[in-house]
Amino acid sequence: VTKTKLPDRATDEGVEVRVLMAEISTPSFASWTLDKAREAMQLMDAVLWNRFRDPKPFGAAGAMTLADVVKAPGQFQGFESYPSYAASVVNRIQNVLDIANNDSDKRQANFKAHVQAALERANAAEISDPSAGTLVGWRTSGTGSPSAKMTFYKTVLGNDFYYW
Amino acid sequence: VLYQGAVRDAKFVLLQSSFEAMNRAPGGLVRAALKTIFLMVMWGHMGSHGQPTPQLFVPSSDPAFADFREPLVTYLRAKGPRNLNTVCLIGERYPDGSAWVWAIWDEGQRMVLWEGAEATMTGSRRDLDLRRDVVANEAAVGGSTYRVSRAYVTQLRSQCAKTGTTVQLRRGDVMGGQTK
Repeated sequence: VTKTKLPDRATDEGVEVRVLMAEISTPSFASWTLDKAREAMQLMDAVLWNRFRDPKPFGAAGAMTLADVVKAPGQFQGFESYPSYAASVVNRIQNVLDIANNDSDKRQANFKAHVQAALERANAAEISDPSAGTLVGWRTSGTGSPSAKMTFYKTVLGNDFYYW
Repeated sequence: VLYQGAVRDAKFVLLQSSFEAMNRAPGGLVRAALKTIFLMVMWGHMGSHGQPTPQLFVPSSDPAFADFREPLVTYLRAKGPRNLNTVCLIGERYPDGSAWVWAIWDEGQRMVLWEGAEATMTGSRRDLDLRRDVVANEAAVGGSTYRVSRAYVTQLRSQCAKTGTTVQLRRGDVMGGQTK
């Protein structure tokens, strides 16, 4: 099976695929399905690019790249020093890739599909925002709202998504 | 200005007061029953923004989370265990069937999400440093995808102390893979 590799971390696609893999539950999560993972990736993609279009409220005024958005202080865990990112995130992503590329691992098919879905979403030319406004945030379910200005949209795979 | 988080904070104060009243009720069984019913009702109404809210469970009551010791020991070993490590674990189950456990490590000042038997704690999608990632209130979360309010952490700690599972592991237990 062809080995899966991530795009260069300096590219927008490289940034996005790493955020998606860090933030979305993997196939190890009992509630994971490929459809749910794809939907969560679609919504996170919308959040990231909506923030890029209007970066100032999210600590990223003047952002020229997606990296400028994800390294805004306190916004995306482990990405503040991007292109360096937290060891815990590196390990999480590497663990997913290792399983996806291990032909003798029974979990390979789901993990490979998971990574492939992240790559496809990161490479998609257009964003798809199905909310009633502009998706601008997400939170681990149960941990509260990201801002009083944001409205809850829906929960997908353990993340609550918000728009304004 | 009454920010939306204040509603949640006020509910927590109410929750605390009610618990104190129940603690004064006579009879251990009656107290336990009152607390269980109250928790189920209150927790289901804690959300102030329309988000689904969890039902709490004890990790040992769910086969997917009962064997938490090995991933916990691996996590503590990776983070650097203290001489004594006190960890409280509490499960959250959501209406869509999703479930996970939060492990709150007192001495290490960390709070890590564990997504069950097939997952690890070291590779968690949410591993919070309680000294850096906790802000004064919900208004100060400021759009963050991961920072949490002090009230949220206090609330979870309180619920965990009352209905979760607390384990204590010494450094030697962690490094040797044995639990107390």
